[in-house]
Amino acid sequence: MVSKSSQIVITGIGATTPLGNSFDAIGDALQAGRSGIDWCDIGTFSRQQQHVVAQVQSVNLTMENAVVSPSWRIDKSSRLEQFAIVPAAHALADAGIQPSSCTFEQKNRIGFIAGIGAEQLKDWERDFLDGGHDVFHAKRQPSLVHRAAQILDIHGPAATVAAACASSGYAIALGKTWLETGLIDACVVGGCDVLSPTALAAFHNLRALSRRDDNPEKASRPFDQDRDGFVMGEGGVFFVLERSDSALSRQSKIYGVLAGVGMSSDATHMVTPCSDPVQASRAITEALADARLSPADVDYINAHAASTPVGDAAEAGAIRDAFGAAAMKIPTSSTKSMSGHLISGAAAFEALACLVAIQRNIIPPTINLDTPDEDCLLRHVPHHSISLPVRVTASNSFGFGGSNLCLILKEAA
Amino acid sequence: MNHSPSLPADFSALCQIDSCATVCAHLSEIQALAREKHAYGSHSLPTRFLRHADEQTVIGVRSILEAMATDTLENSDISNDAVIAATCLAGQPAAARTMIGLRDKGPVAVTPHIVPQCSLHSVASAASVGFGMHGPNFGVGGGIHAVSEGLLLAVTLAPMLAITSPSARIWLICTGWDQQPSLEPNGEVNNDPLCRGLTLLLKPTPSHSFDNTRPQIRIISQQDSYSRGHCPADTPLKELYERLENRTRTTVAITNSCVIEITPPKLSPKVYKSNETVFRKEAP
Repeated sequence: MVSKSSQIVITGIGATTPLGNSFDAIGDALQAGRSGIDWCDIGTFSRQQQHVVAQVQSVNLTMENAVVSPSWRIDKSSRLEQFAIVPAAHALADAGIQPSSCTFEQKNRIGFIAGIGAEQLKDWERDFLDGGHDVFHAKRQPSLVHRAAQILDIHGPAATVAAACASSGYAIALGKTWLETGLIDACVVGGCDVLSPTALAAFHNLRALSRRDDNPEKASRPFDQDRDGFVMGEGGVFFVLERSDSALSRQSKIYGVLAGVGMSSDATHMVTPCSDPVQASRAITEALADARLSPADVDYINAHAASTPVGDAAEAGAIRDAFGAAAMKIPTSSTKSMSGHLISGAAAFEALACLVAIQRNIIPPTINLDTPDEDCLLRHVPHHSISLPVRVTASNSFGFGGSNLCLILKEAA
Repeated sequence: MNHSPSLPADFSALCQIDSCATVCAHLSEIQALAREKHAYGSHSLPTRFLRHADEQTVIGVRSILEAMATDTLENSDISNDAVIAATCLAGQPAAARTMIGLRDKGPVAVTPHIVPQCSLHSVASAASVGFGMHGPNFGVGGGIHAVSEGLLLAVTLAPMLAITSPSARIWLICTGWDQQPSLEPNGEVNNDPLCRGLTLLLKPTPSHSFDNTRPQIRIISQQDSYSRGHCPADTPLKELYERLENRTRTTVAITNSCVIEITPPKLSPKVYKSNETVFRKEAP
């Protein structure tokens, strides 16, 4: 194991989201309480021509020094590829890592973990709806994370992980283990997802999506008594993680410390969150223990709260269980009220929101929280962001199949 | 960044293999297999638990039950164990049927089961939910590198698990087809490929406990490996499966400089036919 005195720090961020494509732009949107949800046409075979979703408006390699293989053409790539490769390239550039100037051995020590829950399903669907037959005769090919690693010219270990809506959080947590064991020196971690007709239909038929079609910006209302489901979003968020000694020796900018992670499983149902908070609470408690912090040390909780009747109440119970008396004192919000639910990319987006809170000393709001549900009693931050010192944050993520995750992010010393 | 040509000297990632099991069945057999009783000792799945499950989930679950039967720890507590499932191109037949339904009948024809039952996390979640394992559960891979990704993530999760749940173990399940199902435009399958499942039950172990005579799995630099001729990172499950059945010490490449080394235990492969009685022990 690597020296315990070395922390895992975030040195690079790249994002392609409905709220913007840079840390600053997303921070501005979160601080202003601006929604990224609107009517969008997501193409043929949709339930209706227009859907209430959180869609990425543009995706481009804009950052100076962001480098990809010259053979990769963004306009010839799928949206999923774009949402992985562009933010990952931006994250590396932001961290000041230029693989083209690394030695062979250095490239071998940059890993890549992507949280992508249903890559093949999305690829087959895109091909099928374009008239193709890949789903009938599936091709055996490297998954996106391996293709992306080649395009980014990094050659360390690479993996795709999936824990449903917690996928990108698991990628971040597992990146921490790779760095702590000394397997690698830097790791690109995060996740991405795309809007798709099949997923929209499946979630709609599960009655998991909001049916408020009258006013898109009001549809996602976590913890509100009138919430009726989540709003699907899309996008990709990736970070570069490094050990602090390595980052300091490179004189890298440090956005924050990934101080602790906790993972557990409800093991009760393939879809429905468990009403007993014990396992979700355990993930939070383990993350705090990993960070060697107590509940009272936390200044902000970014809740998973997707705006579903069952899920939000279950999470509020888990927060109260894990944080005890501190739960009613720590400002808590759900940024999904603005960003929608980025599914596989959600946990990474919300980790970014925590870093915004730390960097700007603000608590992003839960917009549309007009009347907090009495089953969701917490210290909410409705409608507008507030200014408070933020040193330590906790970010929860929960997924189908009972996967629970909590990330503790804190200010760099 | 570190310029060392291999892993650091203090690198630590090692697991003891407490059990290893392989199973396989043809596609035509899997539906019947899904309806059978899934139980070993005190561990059993709820009735009809697999009725919406993907084929690889059914095979993965059967390989877990087989691994339970050969576990060196009899009647062990699995409630805090972790589950990692490395699948390759799972959910294809269900995806085809769903997309045909979407095209022909619209969104109303899309089954809500496609997300929870045919995504990359589905096998791991089914194992966690079905057997009551509360440690981390997640899917890995999805493509041709699934096996090496699963091995890597299991071994690197071990040090963290050893701290948070010292008695917990990791169930690594690898599944995949020898050949992918081939479907007609109406969604009917026109071949009968073999689906394989492999479960390794891993106990996180301190690195100083390495003993090359015991069943273990570890990450090492290529130069430290006993064996030469490593399996590539995109090794098909079939190849690993056959090597483990032959008790061949095997290395699987992870990067240009490091490999996963597996010293396998003895195992008894299981080939399923419908109506076969498969479990030797049942709950009293």
